[in-house]
Amino acid sequence: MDENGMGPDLETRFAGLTNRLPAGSAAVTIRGSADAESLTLAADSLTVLSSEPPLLAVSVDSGAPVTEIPESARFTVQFGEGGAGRFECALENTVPAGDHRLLIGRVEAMEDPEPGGHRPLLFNRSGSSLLVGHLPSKVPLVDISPGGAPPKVAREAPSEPVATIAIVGGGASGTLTAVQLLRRSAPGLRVVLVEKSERVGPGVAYGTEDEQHRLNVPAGQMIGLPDRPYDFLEWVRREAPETQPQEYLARRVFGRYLVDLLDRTIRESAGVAFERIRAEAIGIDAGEPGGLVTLELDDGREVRADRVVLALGNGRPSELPGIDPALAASERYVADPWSPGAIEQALTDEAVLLIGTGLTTVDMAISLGGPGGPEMQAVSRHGLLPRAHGDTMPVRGRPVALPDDRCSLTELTSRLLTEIAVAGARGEDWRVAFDSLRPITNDLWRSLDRRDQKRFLSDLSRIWGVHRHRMAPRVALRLERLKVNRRLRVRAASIIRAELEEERVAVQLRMSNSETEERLLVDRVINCTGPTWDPRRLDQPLVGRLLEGGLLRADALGIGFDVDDDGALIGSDAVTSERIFAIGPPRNGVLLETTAVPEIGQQAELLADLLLSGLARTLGRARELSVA
Amino acid sequence: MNQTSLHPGFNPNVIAIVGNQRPDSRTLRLASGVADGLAAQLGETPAVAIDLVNLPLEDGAFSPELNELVRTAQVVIAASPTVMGSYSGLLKLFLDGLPEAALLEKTGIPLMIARQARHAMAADVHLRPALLELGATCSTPSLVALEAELASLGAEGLVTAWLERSGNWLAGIPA
Repeated sequence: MDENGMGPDLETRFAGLTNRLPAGSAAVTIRGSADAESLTLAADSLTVLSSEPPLLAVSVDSGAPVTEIPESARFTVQFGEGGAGRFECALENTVPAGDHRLLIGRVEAMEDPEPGGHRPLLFNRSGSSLLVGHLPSKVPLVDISPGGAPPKVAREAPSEPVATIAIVGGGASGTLTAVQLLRRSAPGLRVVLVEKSERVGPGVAYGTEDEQHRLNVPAGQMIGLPDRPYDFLEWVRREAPETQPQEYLARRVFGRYLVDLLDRTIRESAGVAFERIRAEAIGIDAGEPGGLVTLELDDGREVRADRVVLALGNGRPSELPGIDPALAASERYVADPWSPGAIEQALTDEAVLLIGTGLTTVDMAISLGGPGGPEMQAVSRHGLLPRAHGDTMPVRGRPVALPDDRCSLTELTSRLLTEIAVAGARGEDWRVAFDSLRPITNDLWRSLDRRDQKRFLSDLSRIWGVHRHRMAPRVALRLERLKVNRRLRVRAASIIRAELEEERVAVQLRMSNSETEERLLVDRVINCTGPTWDPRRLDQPLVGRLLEGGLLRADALGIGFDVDDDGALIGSDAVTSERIFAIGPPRNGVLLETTAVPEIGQQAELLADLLLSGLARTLGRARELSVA
Repeated sequence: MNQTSLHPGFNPNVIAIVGNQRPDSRTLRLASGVADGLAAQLGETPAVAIDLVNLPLEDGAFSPELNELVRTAQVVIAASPTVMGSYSGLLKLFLDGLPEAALLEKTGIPLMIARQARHAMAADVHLRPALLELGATCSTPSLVALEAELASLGAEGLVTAWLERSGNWLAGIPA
């Protein structure tokens, strides 16, 4: 697909590929004439040029904060893990090479690593290399030039932060962004996370305390860190060694993992400050181009940052037509089932109407489905519940074959249907066909023209949704039981109106199949239509201010924020922001699917790289070396 | 819970049935294009093109699911290359498996690709009567694409030309 220009550009792909290429790496300490100017950088490559005379070359990012390297400069190249093994070089020459500089040095002294105890530094972002060592950021570098100055410690990090990145929102998106920034940044960065609720990590999605609210994908596929796909599974196994990758764990387990992941990362990141502010960001001032962005908090404080990441998570369900204002204002109508304590009262109701039949409805039906809970009806235009995951990982099935060039929506649908039909007839798993589209969904979506995108949203998104966003098998089983026991009834209908009638709610329904109407008397109506991301409908002061200020607009389809491929906000004047970015669900309109952890994890990694490279001149080269 | 095939909730208004022995054929491309164009004219309804050659046969017949898709559609495009001067056996097998009067009150559209001009009548002589027999209303001209035209105009050009030519008749299709 990339050959057709649908994928990322050449530079991005090159960077992505070379990141997976294991290469010798080194920590380079450059010293000018004055000792105070010494600086430690991660070299992007280390090459032996010549034996006679002994010459080495290291390449460093031109964005690194060494604009002028004096001719008399010396540098230390440290190539072994934990400080074992180093070359002392005098600078011979510097050669500009694209966005890097090649430093060529004549080796004047060297220190052998202990025989056998030497682990070379290797750079490989995919984490799958044979041997990857740590950048020894905590080990002071010692000058060992023979007969030279006495050992001295090179300056490592500025004591005061030199750049600030503010993250608004402390759910999964915000947490993963913070983690990637902390892992990737050079010393000198300050990460500020603004979150109004007490806990940072779980957010709404993974904050539910209901043990029966399960993750919608198996543990082995909850990939928050793209370079460590099994980090979550390994974390779970520390306490529950028997956990299998295909298990559907409770959602709060992932919430606890996020909390721990952030804590761990904060502890391990030397030189990068993390600050958590408990407040709600209610206003924003972009200031002058190139200057600082100011966030206004509800407690009167302000945060000034070089970059701002909006990690706002899922918006509350949109308002429904037909709900009488008096009902909407009463406690008999639950506008957002995910707000804390929202459905507590419904537990003792006799009859409840759930509007919507998607995954939110499934969660609510499970929560209200215990003994003594209400009888429930769930309605949507189609009346389709999400499909269930298979009991086991599918072993057989075919991926959807796509043509080499662009494909219309009709062709895509046709191919998908064909694979499903084939799978059905052969007794294979249709899920394979759907899941094969997952890695390319964002690209497929962007390749559709506007007309096809609109058609998808109006006709196919529901069908796509019920197949693509499936529920755990155990959850499906419980729903079946609720249906059999007449506790839950799912119907294809739309709501004409709902209003208070004495102590209850009268609802007028129109059945989708027969066009007949029906009247229903319930104790409560719960809006389970699922999250929205149209900024014009989001009930958040900060989003309102962004819209007013022209810094943000809805995307062309009105289903999310208008952002570019990097997540940078596009304002009302079509100008792309260089300092304000969005991550996660609000990118919906551009990507179609951006709610699942693996997608958000990837966005967080790319966004962290982008933000840090933009601040590289201030910060020095951010770079990650991890232990295999 | 264990439904394995086409979802009952997916009811495309326009369906193209493609009977070409080769998967991913030009017939498929052309038929998809027509389905797409018709869907736009009918008010952006869902459309789908089924490549019969990809579908497995059970006891010599296609899955009943396919008949269900046809049952809920308003427009059925029957598409085939010319084989031995007529439409393909693959398409015939599908048409034979439909229940009696399966296309009643539906618009049927014959679509054929012909190698030579003398085969251009096959759509009207063979395919149209088969659709009529199943109860379809075939009020538009057949779409016959000569291979030379297909090469010079491209599938898109042919579809556009046919949609323009068929405008008056298409206006009569109930949305």
